[in-house]
Amino acid sequence: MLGENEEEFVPEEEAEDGGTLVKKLREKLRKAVEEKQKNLDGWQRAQADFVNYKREEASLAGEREVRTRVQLVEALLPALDSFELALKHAQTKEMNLVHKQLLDALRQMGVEFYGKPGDTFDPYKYEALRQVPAANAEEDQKVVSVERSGYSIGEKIIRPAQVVVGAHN
Amino acid sequence: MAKILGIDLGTTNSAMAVMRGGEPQILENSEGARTTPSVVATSKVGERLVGLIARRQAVTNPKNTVYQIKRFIGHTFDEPNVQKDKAAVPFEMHKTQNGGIEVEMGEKWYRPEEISAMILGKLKADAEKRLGEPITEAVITVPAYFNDAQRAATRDAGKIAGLEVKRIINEPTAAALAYGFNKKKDEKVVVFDFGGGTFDVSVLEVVMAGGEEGSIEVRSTDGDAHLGGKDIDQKIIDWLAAEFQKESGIDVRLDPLARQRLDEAAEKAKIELSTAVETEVNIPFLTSDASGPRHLLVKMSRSKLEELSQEFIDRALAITKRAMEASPFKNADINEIILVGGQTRMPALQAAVEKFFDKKPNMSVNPDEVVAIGAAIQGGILGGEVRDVLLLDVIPLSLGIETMGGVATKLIERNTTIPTSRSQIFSTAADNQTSVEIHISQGERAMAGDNKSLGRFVLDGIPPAPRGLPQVEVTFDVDANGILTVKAKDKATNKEQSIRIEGSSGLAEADIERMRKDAEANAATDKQKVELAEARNLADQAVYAAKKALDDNKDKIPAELGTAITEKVSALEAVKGGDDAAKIKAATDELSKELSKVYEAIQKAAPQPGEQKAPEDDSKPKDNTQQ
Repeated sequence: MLGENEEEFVPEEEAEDGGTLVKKLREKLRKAVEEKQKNLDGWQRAQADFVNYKREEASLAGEREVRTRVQLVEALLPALDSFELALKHAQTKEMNLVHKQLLDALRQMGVEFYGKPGDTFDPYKYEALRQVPAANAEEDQKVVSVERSGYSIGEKIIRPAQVVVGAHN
Repeated sequence: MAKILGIDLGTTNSAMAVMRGGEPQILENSEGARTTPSVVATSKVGERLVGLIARRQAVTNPKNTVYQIKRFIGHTFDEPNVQKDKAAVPFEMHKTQNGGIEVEMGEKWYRPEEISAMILGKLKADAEKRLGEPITEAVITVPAYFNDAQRAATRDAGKIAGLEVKRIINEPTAAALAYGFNKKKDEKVVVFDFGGGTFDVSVLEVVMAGGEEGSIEVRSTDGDAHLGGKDIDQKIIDWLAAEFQKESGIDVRLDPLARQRLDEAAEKAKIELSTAVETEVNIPFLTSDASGPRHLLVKMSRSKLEELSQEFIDRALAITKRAMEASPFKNADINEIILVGGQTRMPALQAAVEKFFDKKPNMSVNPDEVVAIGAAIQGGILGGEVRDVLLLDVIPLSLGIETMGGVATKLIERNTTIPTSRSQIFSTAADNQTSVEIHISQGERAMAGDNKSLGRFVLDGIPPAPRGLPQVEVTFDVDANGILTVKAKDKATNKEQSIRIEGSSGLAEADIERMRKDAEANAATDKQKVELAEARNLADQAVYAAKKALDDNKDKIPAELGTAITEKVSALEAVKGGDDAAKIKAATDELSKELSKVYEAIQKAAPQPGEQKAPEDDSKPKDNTQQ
């Protein structure tokens, strides 16, 4: 493209009279400056997009790693939940040991599990499945029972603990 | 330039997107989700909650949790539909002095636009956090059937949230924009939007009024505000519960946890049945009775799902028929059908739409996100970002050089965006080789001889050295006009040679297509050729190593081992020129086995003759650097 413009500038105009030539050249210069500005603008924008993209990629790399772990835990959740329910029905020493093994393995991957009766209900970490009357004011907005444990990695909640909440009128 | 946020403000869920680097992109909210529930609450301690967090506390706080506000925005209190919808929600509502609606939340009364503004406000804040810049402008989508009052109220909601609403556009129009259908002349498009709770169908026409982009006009629209994916979910849950009850006699729908698990299992089954014809719903310990824990384990087939959802699909199609009748077009006039809403992933629904129009519907853009994407594109057009996008070319066919054995080694893969530049280090094939020939090939075939030859040149003056030692850096540079410059440089002497090829991208579309097809058709034979070339290369290398080992260690190698190696070398050399890669490989392995004995024999005595094995071929890449 540059080549074409260079060619445009040249010879036959030399034959024209000075005034017309200057006028033509001025017009060409104006157009060239305009185009330069447009190209510079486009280039700067592309550069900025690229720098931003790189920065974002760098920050996403960490996020992606967490995401992979989150996906793994999400896939395991139904089995973990069933395990928890199985323990409620029949607690044996063996099953407790296996469950502990599972949770220890998750903990090593940075996964925490939480939720116990008496915790204050906080919608950022808990999901209310049901509400039951509470006997006194202290039990208002407190977790009465945990139906399913919550799982988190750092700040990220993988699944809120699903709970029954007490309400005192 | 500040970005214009595209917002799909939905009845159940909302989504947002912006243009980034010329491409529309969905923005995740602060919880990391691509959609945000359209739910707002004032918590018991007076905190304002929006989205997922608001939904999680809904059962403990039903009076102060507002959802589905889109059903009420821009309406008057006495409308029959409002009265009907009001009965289905737990929060309080009353009539304002001018006949409008207000909902109660946290002992305060709010107009629907104020509630919508809270959702928009969260989206705005989350987008600002993601993008790291303030957002002040937005394009918001509304259903095609929204009247002026509903549109004005939506615009007000934006204003309350601190957004200048650059435009309110129709949801089907946004979907058509996402597919770029505004650029096609005389397009007639049907947008089939089967959402979570609402169904809408619109017939659009693209009208070209000069310029490259046409305006999109809605020719007819119809729908059912109470038909959606949740109806199908409910049917599945009911069926699962009935199956369970048949066996156990227990109705689990009354237990909230069991219901939740059924809900999740129904959703999972629905997704799995989009690809599989049968799935297993497995919910251990769903509940328990006097006899102990009870489990649900039931097989669900795709035909069962289709049977359960048939009535809803039929209803949607009846409405579609009505919409078509209200438009000036016949089914056969329709050029494109767009599917919107997660429910349209169901194969039965796609098949029904395809049968109705006798045309395959489009769903390459995520149906949950297509409306927000379209809104972002509209924002990009208004902000000038779409127009300013520099159109970058790509190279149509791979570029590379011929390396040892006639193999085409690609330096720049096809579809790489230009301008671009790639370098790679190559070496020599023979001892004391003082020049290398660079033969540039273009195409997808594995052997250079089958590709188009673009040119060749020789780099000489390489100082004599054992094969594999010299480092020749080959650089391919394609400028914005597609002009290719290939440069080869000897790293030791810095001597270089180059060639400039102008016509590297000037191929006719038909030629490019033919070359690609050729590559596909010959993939198998090409693979064999490369295998043969590689086997020969390895054989050369083994012969070279064997001879060198014998020369370097004459006195340390027992006579019979020396004879054995010489024999194997002769055997390998005899088959090396043939076309049987397996034979060559076998003979190479034989020789390698003997060679390993040499290394044992001279283990510590000689300084690692095995080192010589590594540097080998003429142009096989040894290193890979980018400029």
